[in-house]
Amino acid sequence: MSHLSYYVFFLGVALEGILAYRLIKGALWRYYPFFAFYIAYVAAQSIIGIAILQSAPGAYPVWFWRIGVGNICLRFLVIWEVFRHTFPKASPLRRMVTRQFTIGVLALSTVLSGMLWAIEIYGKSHSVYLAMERSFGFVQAVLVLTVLILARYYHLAVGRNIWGIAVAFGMYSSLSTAASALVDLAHSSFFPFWYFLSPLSVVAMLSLWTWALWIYAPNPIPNADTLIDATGDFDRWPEDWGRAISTVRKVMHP
Amino acid sequence: MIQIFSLVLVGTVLFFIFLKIAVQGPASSAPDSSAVLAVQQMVNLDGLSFAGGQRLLDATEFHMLQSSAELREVAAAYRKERQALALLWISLLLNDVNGLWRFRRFLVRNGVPATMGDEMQILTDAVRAMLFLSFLRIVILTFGPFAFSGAARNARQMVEKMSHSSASVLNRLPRHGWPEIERTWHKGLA
Repeated sequence: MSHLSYYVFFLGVALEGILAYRLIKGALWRYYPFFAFYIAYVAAQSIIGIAILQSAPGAYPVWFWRIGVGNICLRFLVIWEVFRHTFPKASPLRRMVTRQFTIGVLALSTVLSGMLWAIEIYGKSHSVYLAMERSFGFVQAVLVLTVLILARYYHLAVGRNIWGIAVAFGMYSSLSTAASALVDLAHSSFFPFWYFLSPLSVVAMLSLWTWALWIYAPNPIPNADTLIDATGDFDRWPEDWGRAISTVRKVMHP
Repeated sequence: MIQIFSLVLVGTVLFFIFLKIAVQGPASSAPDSSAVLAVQQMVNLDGLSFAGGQRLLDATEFHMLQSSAELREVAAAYRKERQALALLWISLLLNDVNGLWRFRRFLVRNGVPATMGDEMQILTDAVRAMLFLSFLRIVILTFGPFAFSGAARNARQMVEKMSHSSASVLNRLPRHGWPEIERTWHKGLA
């Protein structure tokens, strides 16, 4: 690792520490438990990484790639956090959007499986981790973008916390998709760039997350007066109808 | 190979989409509807309260009249009348923009908290709305009322945006202080 790599690495660790501090100090982890869990995993990964770098630097790359797979999978927690805050349980949109979202997840999972299966036939693939990174990154970026598009479509206001988490994560995922695919396309020429680009994009994501979570700014709760409660009307309708029928009967057979 | 190449492209496109969303920033929350209503009452937004702007610039009826040879004269009169009405509506919208801008300055002068960024935003919105409405007036004068029919919606949206930003400033004041603000505002106008 060069000096610059060390600086970027420790900048990332520092940002993770600040983010963890913000999540604990403002008790934000209670509002965003899935996101907090992911940050805890990333922070633990960095701390263990530093320990391994100090004690057995040779073992670090192998450990990094292995633990990275868990990191990639846990990123789905971030998406779920964004989704459940954008469409909270009380929201009437939740049921409808959940169906669309589930269909989207299933479709993307199929694409993902296809992509991962295709690793077998790449022939020129340099790393399974990179293949996972780009396949999962693509799916995750699309999912986050879908949530943001749905929120915009239904005119749902997204607070600074969730907006920052979603946008930073989306930027990182899409960049990591393109970068890890480029590494396989032009390994020798692009690898040195990827070596810096990858940790720098993580640092950029962590910076945006730190800014977004610096204050507690949740999604605004929709005004209860504007929500239409149809259940009351549905209950009243058979009652009124029954009353109307009995009135007609009384008039016809007094 | 094609799959990897397409992922490079898709990833880049997605990145720029997210970058665009990031540059736009988090959507500012819509102001309370009661504040929007209060602003409309205080400033007398005649142009904005007219809902038929889009229909005013709609050419369907004109084309219907124009298609019949006997009704060409009626069509010409109809077009002239619509032009006068459209120009009147544009001038009402311009009055609304002026009124909202003045009202906003009045609120800030009276101690409603606002940042420099807020002020720059309203200034930009006001200048943009005035330029657009003046341009629209020239277009209607030159090419008639139906040349730029899609613009009615944009014109309305621009003024609406200004009224919303004034409402969000008013919202920063306690509600019981609004009647006093209204009295002072009307006193200043008289």
